[in-house]
Amino acid sequence: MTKRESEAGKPKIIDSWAMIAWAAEEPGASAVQDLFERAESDGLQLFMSVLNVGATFYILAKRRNAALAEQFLNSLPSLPIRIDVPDQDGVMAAARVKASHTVAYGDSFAIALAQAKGGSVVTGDDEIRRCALVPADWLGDQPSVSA
Amino acid sequence: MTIEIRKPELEALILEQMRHGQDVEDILMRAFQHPSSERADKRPDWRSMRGMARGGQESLTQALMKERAAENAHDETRV
Repeated sequence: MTKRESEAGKPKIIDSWAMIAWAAEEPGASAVQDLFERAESDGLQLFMSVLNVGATFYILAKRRNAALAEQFLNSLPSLPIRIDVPDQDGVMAAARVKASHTVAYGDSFAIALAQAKGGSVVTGDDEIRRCALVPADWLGDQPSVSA
Repeated sequence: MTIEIRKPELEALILEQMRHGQDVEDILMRAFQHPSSERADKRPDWRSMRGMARGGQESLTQALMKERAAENAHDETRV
């Protein structure tokens, strides 16, 4: 199996931190852009929980403005990301993560989704890295995402 | 002639425009005059989203972390 085939088979979960960094052109944005390009051209599988979409939306609305948040939501379907809407099992998997680790509820959905897909979470959120339940593609202080 | 619309989102769009007083034939006429390839050009392109929220005084990732920290502090206090 080539590196590209191997990589394409391992899903990556985009969390709120990664999406916000990209949308606000903050450190980590270029690494996220690279993942989007690879998802479009190389078949890299990217997922995002709708809970994290919601978190991104409210941060944009509260800290910028509501119109920008709506613009984000309207443009979201054009991204090469599959939006995951959890069923009851998915919600309870996230609840178990939240119950046993000090992570925000939104983070627990990104982690549970990574567990379900056998993938990693693309993030700069140290809580996700510290709980070590899933691999983290760390954006916090590195210029690019590990392959 | 009867036209059956099998896409619920398209049906909803047509009904919405009819509620605003437009005639269904005018709506369909416009759709045929502008093929889907042209309409696709007007859809949002994800590349244009990068940096859409830049320019504020505060870092949005730091704002997210503050929200998360407040949530965790609240939860731990309750426990």
